[in-house]
Amino acid sequence: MSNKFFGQYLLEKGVISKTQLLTAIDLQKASHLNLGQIAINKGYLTEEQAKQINLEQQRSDRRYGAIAVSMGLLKSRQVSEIFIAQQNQRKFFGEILVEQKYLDKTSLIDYLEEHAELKKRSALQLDNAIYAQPHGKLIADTINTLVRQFLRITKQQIQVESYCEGDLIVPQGQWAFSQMVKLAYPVNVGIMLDDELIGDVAESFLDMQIRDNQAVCQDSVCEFLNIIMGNSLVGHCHHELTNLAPPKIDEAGVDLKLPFEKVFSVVMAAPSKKLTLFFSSD
Amino acid sequence: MSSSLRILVVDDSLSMRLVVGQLLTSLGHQVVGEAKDGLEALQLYMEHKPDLVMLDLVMPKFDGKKTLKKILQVDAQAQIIICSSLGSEGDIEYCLREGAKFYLQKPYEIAGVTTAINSLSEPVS
Repeated sequence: MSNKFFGQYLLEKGVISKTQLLTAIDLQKASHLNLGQIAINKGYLTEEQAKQINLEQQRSDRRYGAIAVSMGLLKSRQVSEIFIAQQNQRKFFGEILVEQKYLDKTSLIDYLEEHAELKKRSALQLDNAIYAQPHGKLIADTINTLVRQFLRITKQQIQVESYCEGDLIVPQGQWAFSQMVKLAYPVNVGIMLDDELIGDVAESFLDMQIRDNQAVCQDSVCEFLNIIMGNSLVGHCHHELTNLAPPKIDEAGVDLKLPFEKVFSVVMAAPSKKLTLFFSSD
Repeated sequence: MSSSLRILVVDDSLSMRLVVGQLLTSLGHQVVGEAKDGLEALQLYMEHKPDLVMLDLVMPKFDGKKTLKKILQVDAQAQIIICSSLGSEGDIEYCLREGAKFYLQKPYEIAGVTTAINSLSEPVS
């Protein structure tokens, strides 16, 4: 199973070079102004107000425009206007490749169709693999919540890259954060990531430069996991009380299947960063 | 409820205590104590008799649900707001029926915290 960004797919096919890929990524980033920046440019918000909305967005699970309106900083009409401006300025990755003459239009359309087909197939394979697990719905809900909260908190897109069934040992340089959930059966759910990404999550979560304080950084990731799991479990417990243990941290070398029989893991990729979501159960 | 409250924050996560502390201070309240588990919460409650307790549910030793009951046994008038990542109807109903004044689900926003605190001054129907 494989689910790659379009640029990575073209790189691996040898259609574009690493330099071309990086140039196109830079150009795409430059074409994408965030809503706050557009509102500042139009004189609707001050930098301080835009930052306030950003902070609020990290702590709640709502859209930028909705928060700005509820805080009385923007009117609905202004939100629509800056959203349209953002859509008009944003360039598609393929559009940039053509503009830069890395590809012609006809080849671009062929590669886009091929890539969409592969994505469709791999999404189907992932769904099949997930729902073959006894706790498939929990896995699907946790992935969706993680994607949403990761974007909210770190401002980075993350997507499923691959999945695997089998043993999982915490590798050198990584840490595993997990929580035991008791539904009809116990499942240990967790995320595994390296110090750099732990620092990213903590600094975004706390809005302070705290990367050097390992204890606080790890504590922030525990809370991040706790929020993801608490939110993911809403549809599973209904009228029952949720039975979720406090998060624990495992170092390199720990076998994540213990005390269970098997582990289902999903590698989630953000640009140049990866984390593993795992579920151990009987 | 007075505009500036003396508040006890109970959460096993240091990060969350930092975030909640900053938020409450920015709203003009005073954090009189921070506890990382239910036992510590009970001790600090007796010591400070705060106006309000912001209580997490998923915690080691005894968890938030037990802490809620214990504090209310000690002081039936205690004002407790639950702040938890858990959001099933079962959790919410249990805590509110046990005597919590409000339930906030993480991640929450300033508006939610303000609504929760303002609700404390509303008369009980």
